[in-house]
Amino acid sequence: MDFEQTWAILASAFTQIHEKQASKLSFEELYRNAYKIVLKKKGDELYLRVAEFERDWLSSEIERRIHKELPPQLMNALQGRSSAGSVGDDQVRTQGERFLRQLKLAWEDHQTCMSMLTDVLMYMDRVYCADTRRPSIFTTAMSLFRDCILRSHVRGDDSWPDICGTLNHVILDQIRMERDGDFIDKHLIKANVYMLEGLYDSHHEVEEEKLYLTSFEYEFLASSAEFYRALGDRLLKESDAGQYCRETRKRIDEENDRCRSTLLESTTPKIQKVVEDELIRYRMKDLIESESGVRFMITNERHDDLALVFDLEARVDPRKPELTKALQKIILEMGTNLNDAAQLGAAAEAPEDRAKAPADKLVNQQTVAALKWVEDVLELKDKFDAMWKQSFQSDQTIHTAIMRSSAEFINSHPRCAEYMSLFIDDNMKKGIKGKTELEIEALLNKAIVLLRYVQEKDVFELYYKKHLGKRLLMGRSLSIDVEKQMIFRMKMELGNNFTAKLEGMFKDMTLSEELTAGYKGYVARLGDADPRRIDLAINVLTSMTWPVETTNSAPDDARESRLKTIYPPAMERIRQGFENYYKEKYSGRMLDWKGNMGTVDVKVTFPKVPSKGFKERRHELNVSTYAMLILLLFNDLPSGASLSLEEIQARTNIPTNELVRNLQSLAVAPKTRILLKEPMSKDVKDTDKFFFNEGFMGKFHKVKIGIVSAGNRIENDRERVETEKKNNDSRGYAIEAAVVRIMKQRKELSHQQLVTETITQLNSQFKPDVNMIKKRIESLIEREYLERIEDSPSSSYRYLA
Amino acid sequence: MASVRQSAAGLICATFQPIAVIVGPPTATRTFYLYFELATTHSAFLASATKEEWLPEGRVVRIPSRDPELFAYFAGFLMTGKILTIKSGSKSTDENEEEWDLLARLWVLGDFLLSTSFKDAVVDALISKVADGVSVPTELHELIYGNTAGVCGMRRLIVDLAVFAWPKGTMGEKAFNEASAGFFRDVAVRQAVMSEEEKTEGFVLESNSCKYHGHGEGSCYKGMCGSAMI
Repeated sequence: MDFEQTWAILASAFTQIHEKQASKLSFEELYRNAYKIVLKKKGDELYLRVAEFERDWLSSEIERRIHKELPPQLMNALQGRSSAGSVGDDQVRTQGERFLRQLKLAWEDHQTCMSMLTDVLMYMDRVYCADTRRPSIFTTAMSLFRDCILRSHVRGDDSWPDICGTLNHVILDQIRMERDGDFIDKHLIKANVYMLEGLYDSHHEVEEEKLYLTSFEYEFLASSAEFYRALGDRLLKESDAGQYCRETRKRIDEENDRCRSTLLESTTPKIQKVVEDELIRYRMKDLIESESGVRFMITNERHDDLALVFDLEARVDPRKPELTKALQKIILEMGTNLNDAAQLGAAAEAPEDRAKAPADKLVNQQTVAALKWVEDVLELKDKFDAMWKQSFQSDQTIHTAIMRSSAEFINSHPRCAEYMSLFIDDNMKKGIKGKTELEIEALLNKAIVLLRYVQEKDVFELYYKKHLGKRLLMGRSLSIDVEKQMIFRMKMELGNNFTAKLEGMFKDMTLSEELTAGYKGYVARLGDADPRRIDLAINVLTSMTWPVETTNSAPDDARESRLKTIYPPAMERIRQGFENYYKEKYSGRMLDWKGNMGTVDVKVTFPKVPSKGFKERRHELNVSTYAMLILLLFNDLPSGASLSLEEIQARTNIPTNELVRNLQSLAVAPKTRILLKEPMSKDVKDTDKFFFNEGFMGKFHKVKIGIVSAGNRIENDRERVETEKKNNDSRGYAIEAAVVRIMKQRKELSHQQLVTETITQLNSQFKPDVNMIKKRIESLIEREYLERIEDSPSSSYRYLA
Repeated sequence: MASVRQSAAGLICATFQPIAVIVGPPTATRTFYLYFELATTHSAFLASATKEEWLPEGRVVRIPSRDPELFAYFAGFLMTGKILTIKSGSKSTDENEEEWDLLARLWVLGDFLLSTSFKDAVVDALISKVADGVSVPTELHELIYGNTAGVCGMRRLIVDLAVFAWPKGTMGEKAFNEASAGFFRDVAVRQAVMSEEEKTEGFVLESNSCKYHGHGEGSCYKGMCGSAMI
């Protein structure tokens, strides 16, 4: 066999294959010739000849065809070397497409031809290449395409990029056109992308060496970053934040589509990151803080836009730091505004009206402001809750952020605990009237949610006890059932400790009902009913369970509180009777009568007043126990006689402030003027004289005479100081208890650790003040519960058993 | 014996289509009808030769350079999975010797057709014939070394037979020429790398191993599904 002869046969066939005239060729003949060459150990030479043949073919014929499609205008335009506008976009685009088409054609032809050559040279590949570990002839031919075509320079000019670089430019240019809204031939680009994906940068045929990655993708990502940076700038300047978000979403989707249809899907995550970086990550802060940003969206209830902002930031960071920050800031601001408004509402009319308006009216206004504050807080919370569900996909991070900033502004209001208790009080007395069970349920839930925010739970408990006490004793609650539900919810939320005393109050009420009924039965069994008998309904309150201010009318001076109220004989009899009955049931208990809390129905006969043409009138007056005592004094008085305040006080021993208040409701309040006062003024002075008003004219048979400031309302300053003092005292005890508990268990502990543990223990009730803890520790040392450990590097304590 | 029950994947054979393969010089051609799927699975040559770009006019493959007598064994192998070289009833020494030569030629045909499974089956047929214990092939080296281009299973097999199984003195009788030079070199190398175990215990031809097969990591023809070897 002559090698040259045989090779000549093969070479001529290969030329025909490249020229697409292979139909006459016999596969068996060509294969047999290559087979024979390999059997004759000329595989090496054959391999080299084929490679040489391919190199020649590519760098003469194919290179020429491709370079022809790269006219100077196109090259200049791609390089940005042409003067602006000299070559229209359309022309560049057409020329670019022709180049892409030619390259695609060359690549596809090359593959088809090489596939046929590989068939012919199969024996060489299987035997010679396998033995000598050479790459298959197909692989070598593919690298030749890379070297001879893609790495060739147009017209041999090195100052121009090679074909591969030019290809990048053309593709990127087409993508730019598409991004600007043009239509491009995606399949054409995809074919060229496949070519880049099929070729490697070097002999190492590993994933990372693919030309698509090493040559194209990097440039694509870099130019995209540049494009989106500019777009971001422009959008921030020209569009509002909502549009920005929508545009960003659209762009991300577009890039995804582009990877699918035009490039490779493996690029999707990378280009997404570029768009996310440029349009979201680096811009989120500016976007959120822009004029039409999150604040604007919240104010104008742009829920869809907010959802977009959320969605976008969630893409780049699951913690959504910018959105969370902005939300917190906005909530805090809105909350602080509410706080300021509440304080303003409470104080606004004070200066100018103080002279005229009575202090009570001011307090009422403040109470209204307090209730409004709570309602506003709820409304704010509802607003953000709705937003959270609608726009933020009920996201946990956002939820925490909303919770935190809500808690922050709520607790920054010094009287939040009192206001919240007042809010519940108001609802229990009026708010739930006519509401369905579901509505009440929602209300209770809201109250509990608010309570969750309040840090000083102990203060809240104090107020709640006080308000609840008044509601129960004065029968002001619309539904005891709802009250109990509320307590049950608090128990679920805050635990048994918190509600134990509140439940005790309910128990007292139930027991009192039973006592009253029992007493009635007891009296009935004593003998015939006395027509003049006075009905008694009694509430027996456990002194530690009920708040002191409910049971002690006023903490006036000690002298007054020691004096015992003088009851008229008829009343005294009943009092004794009940006391006896009670002592029989519960021996060893002290009953302390609270005249300021009770009410009495009295039947009063007003005589004829012929001068005014009044007939005799009977009215049933519902008055406080003290008012009843005052009125009874006038029973024994001749018509027209008067009593001074001092006289009344001397004969009843009613504490001064209670007396003044009762006299105000009996003699000053315009509709319930049972007494007349001389001189007629609003204030009550020691020397004022009181007469029975025989000319009282009531519209109804029953008249209720309320006591001024009996309802639950905001505390005045004096009361607050007192509440605070009381609360501080109870906090002091709580701190001491906690310190002793901790030390008893740990025996020795450093100061810092002790303080930290104490704070942790008490956190569910209130946030203890560190100074207060220090003082309590000092006090415990003085009382020898603890001692300082001498020679300890940091100050430490030891528990003394 | 393989079980009569086999995988349902074998049902694919019900859809096979035939192609015509015309073998032999124009004066003495013989036409074989092979199933396309079988032929292209077992021969890379036929797989390429039946591609559309090489067969513009239809399903007729021409192999004028090969002997139709030999090709018949390949066709038979495709249908049965067996090497059908035992002549019935003949016990003559001549025919026995002829079969060695036939098997070697079949292996070369398999090499030309790039049919690993056929080559491996022929190797196994040769080994089983050695195992019969009637004779040992001693004349195959020139044919094999002249018609192969590198290391392969058949070369290794005949070298091992020469080193371990040839009767004493046979080696010395063989002529040394261009065609047999490679063979003697391989024999020398084989002797040089012989293991201690082989030196003391001799050489055992394992009929059930893939030692002289060419499939490498790919599947052995024996594991291919059913007698039709899909």
